[in-house]
Amino acid sequence: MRIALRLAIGLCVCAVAALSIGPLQAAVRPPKLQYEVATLPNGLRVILSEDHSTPIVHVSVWYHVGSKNERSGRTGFAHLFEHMMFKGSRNVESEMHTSMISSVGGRSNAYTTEDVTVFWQTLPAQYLPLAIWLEADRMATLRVDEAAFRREREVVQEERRMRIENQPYGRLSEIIYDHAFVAHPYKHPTIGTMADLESASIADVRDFHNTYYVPENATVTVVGDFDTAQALQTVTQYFGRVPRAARRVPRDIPAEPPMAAERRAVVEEAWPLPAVVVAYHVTYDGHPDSYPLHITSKILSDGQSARISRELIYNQRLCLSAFGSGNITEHPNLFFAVCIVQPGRTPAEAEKALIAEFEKLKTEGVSTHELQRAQNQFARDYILGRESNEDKALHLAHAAVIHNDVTTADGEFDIFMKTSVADVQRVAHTYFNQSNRLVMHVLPKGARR
Amino acid sequence: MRFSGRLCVSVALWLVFGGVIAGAQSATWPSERPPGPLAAREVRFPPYEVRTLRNGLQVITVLHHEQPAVSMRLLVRAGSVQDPAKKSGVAGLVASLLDQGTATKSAEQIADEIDFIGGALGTGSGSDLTFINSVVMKDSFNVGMNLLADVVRNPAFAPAEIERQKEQKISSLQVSSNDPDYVASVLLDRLVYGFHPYGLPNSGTPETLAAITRADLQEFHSRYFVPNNMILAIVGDVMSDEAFAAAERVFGGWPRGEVPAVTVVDPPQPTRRVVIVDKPDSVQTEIRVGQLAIPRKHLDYMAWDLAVKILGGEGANRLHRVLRSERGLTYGAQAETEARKQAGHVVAETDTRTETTGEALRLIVDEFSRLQRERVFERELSDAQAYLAGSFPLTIETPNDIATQVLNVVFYELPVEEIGTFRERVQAVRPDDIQRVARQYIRPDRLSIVLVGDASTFIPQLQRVGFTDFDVIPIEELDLMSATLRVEKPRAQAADSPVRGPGPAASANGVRGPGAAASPDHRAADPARAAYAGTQVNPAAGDAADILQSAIEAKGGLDRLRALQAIVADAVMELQTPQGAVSAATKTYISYPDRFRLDTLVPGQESTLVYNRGQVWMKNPLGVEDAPEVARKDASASVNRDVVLLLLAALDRRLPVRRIPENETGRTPAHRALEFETPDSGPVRLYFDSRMQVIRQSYGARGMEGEPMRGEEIFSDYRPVEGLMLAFEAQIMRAGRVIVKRTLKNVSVNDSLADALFIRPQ
Repeated sequence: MRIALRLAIGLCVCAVAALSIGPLQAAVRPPKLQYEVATLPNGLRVILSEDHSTPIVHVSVWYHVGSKNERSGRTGFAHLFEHMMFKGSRNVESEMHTSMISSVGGRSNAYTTEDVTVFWQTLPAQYLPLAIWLEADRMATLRVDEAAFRREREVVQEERRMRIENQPYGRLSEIIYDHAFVAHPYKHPTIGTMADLESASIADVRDFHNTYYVPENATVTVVGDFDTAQALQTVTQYFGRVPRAARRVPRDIPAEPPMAAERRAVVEEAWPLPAVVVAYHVTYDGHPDSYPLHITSKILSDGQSARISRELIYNQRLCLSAFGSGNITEHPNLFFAVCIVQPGRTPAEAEKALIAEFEKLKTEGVSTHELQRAQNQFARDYILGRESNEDKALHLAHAAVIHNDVTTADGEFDIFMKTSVADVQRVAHTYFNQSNRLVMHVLPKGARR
Repeated sequence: MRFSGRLCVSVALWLVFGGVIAGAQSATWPSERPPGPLAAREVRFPPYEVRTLRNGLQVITVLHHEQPAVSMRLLVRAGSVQDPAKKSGVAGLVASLLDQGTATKSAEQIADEIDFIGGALGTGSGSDLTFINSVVMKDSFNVGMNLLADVVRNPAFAPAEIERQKEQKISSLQVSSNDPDYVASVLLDRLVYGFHPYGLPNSGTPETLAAITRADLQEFHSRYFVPNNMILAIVGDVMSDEAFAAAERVFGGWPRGEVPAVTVVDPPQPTRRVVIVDKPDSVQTEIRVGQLAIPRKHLDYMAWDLAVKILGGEGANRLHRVLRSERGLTYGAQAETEARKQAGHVVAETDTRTETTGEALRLIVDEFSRLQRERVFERELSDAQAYLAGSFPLTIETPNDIATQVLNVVFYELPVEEIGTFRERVQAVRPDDIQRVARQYIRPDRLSIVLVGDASTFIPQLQRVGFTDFDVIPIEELDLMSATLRVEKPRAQAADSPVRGPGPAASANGVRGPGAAASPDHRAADPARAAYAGTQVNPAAGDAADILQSAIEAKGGLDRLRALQAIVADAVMELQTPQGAVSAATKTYISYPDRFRLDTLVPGQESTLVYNRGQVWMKNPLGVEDAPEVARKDASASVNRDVVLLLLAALDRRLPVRRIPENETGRTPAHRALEFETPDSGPVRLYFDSRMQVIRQSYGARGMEGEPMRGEEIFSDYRPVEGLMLAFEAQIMRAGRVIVKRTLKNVSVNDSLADALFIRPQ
């Protein structure tokens, strides 16, 4: 699911204590991840990282396909397909994947983003072969059944109603992206529209599986209490027999043309308080500018001392909640700020205050103190974001799939360390410009009348 | 790790020669069984330590050195349960103000400090606790501890910050009161727990928040934020001695304090109630179905938790199967055990499109019935057990997971050995245990049901599937603090009236407001609610005397009650024992006002108990004896609680009686309640249904060891005998558990009884 407030994952950090009283020294530098990678002859990428602290293991399979791979008229298909992966395969009855994992005390689930579809399970370590076998079985031999497909389509429609349509601000992200993009499929919500879900067919399911659920488009990551050689043998035994794809995985995704002028929109939704959005198009994950943009997100919104929190929520009491951050993904995406406007205050005031924060980044830049705070916060996120096997697998797989370079899972740490106040100001000048901006007011229904 | 980074030579060689069958066609994919497990790894609970400082602060340490961070989690044993009356939200407001300024630091300074060191600080509260969580890098451990102690011990509660937080909370409520998910959940709690604090929203309401003063916050803090009322966990990359020393340094000098006990009203007995919250623009209906069950610290907790998991939890989940997998009605359906300190409940929840609301609700309620009625399959139980026991290592993965396990045990005052024996205790549960707890606790005919959605569209569906009795409340009129669940409707009307207050508003409408006489202070303190009193029309409304009159009338009329001399009843008593139910035929003779005899007719073990004006004897196959003190008191108390005697004594003004306002009964106005102050047995409450029959009696009782506990009797199946209304079914409860079920078989009224029945048996 695309979640509006979600920052791109896989960020690394820096923690230098240039000014500080000294609590932050080299000691807080987190340990590097230990792992091995392999590629099977059929193209499957494998990442293995041993961690013997608890007798459990996490297995994830990342398919490099998300909602940005969908063709028009079939929005929501990647996610609908994710559901179909639980509907049985040659040796596994429908819904049995989940129950076989839970019957040994394990947990499993899946999620879909703009860029990837991820299936995962965490289970007691001795059941690693079961998890590998189950994942390989559905990669090779998904069973598609018309009745199950229709029922699952209804389940996904309920998911859309639940997450998006039936809660205040549930559609906010969808509205922002619909107005901000014209050509690139990031325009469409990951969960799709009701009409497109309705028109999806079982032929689409077969075609999607044959096209994208192939070894060369997949990355298997295993983290936990196992022996690497033994695990690789198991992975090879079960995934190795999945045939290589007959054709290459298509990557023809339309690019978003640059904006020529500011876009403005006023829409109405049945939400209790107005929302104001200021969004700028920015670069992709891994681009040199992406690191200062991540720093900017922290400076604007991480913690009560961050600029937007302090100024718009605390000092001005203008917003019930507010943030500004980059949704930095595989293809160029948005950096956007949102303010849910307090009763008695106006959307115009909120717009002015949000834009002022972006302008200040350009004219005044940020202080070294702020930069250092942001870097220390990265160190914290980096450390706390690597406590569980699942966390570690996420960082490794993200680096491998999105950056096509697993070493970035650790390597970005130094890039953040070297980011300067000048870098932050430079990217602000590059992206936070009026002609590159969408300004949107979402008003409670009837408020315009 | 032998090597790291990219593909290593040895691995590459292994791939080439390792029996790879790449390129196989899926047509040739083998049909096979899943692989078996590898050798099982030993699961050990990681080391931890619990110590208590001299001032009573409990400190837990869990050491974990993989990542260079330390987290501190402090629990205060006070939450919304300790909110003062009509000030829901005090605990929540206290929590959110802790880090908004202390005696020596402003809110901004605190935020600057914690953010700069790359730490985090969060506060919050629930019904039984308030928490302060912090995480810092290991080198900032002392800075973090100092800050934690400062915000916990010295919050400033500055007026400007109070205003800011109130504004935030009130705006947030404006958003959440439009969120069907939130509304459904808080309303279900309210139906299940009534005006017990678990039934009231932790976050308060705009009205209760507005009423909270700085003094309320300070008082809450000074009463409950004392070291002997707290637990601190220090978790992560720190040495044990260092952690305990730091705790001693920042909290050791804090004196202990007397923590006042809170008294709260009991949750109401389960009653079937369907409340629909109408939100016409909804595309889905949020459904909640639940009922009162057991608290966390209860001997049946494990079996009960597994029963609920079979209904709707991980590893089994009938609801998910029936609603999602088989019918595609929802994205998710589950049931959960919500077991807290004082009480607990079970709740099933789902959301479904408007058109399938009736179908989904019917299926959920049917699953409650099925679980209560039918024995679960061995396989279902073993799957649920396999998940619960098998997933144990998954719940001790990170330092915070481990701390959560220890905190739970310490917070709920469970034996610490329970962590180590968890898996054995899970596996010990048998299908018979599930059946026993399901029968004992699930009341399919008394479920609380909440539906939030487009009411006019789905109401016809409800009727088709058998739900015909429900309240419909427009979402903007929902008020959890109101006995009727609705805001006082015509605000305009109240504003028009020249004087806002109970008197004029009530008389203008010609109806006496409920509770106006019994608790004038409550009404006067709340003009908005007082205005409502005048708008309500309810024939059963009235003060204690009115209720008493109606109750006597409903029981059979004053003449009949005054003429009552004797009752003889044959009954079956079903005793609930830990070994299962034991039933016995009994015969009871009551000679009004102060003699009775109970013969229990179990072949070979006949026994008799005789009560005669304070004297009590017991006879069993071993002989006759004067009853011990406890039994004598119990017998006297049961006479003092006789409903007919209570009603008449109150009418004749021999006993003080008061009417209990709705906000204390947790009932709708159709349910009246009276409290009788008995000289020997303390307050006894009678709760009446809409026909003014007593449906519940509650009183202070004593356990086997003489310890005080809540006694209750639930009456149903009223039938007339010689014009007198008698409950043919009764359940006698102690501390929330049914101990005896009584079913009357034959009853006669006013037979003449021989005195010989009421003397010391031979």
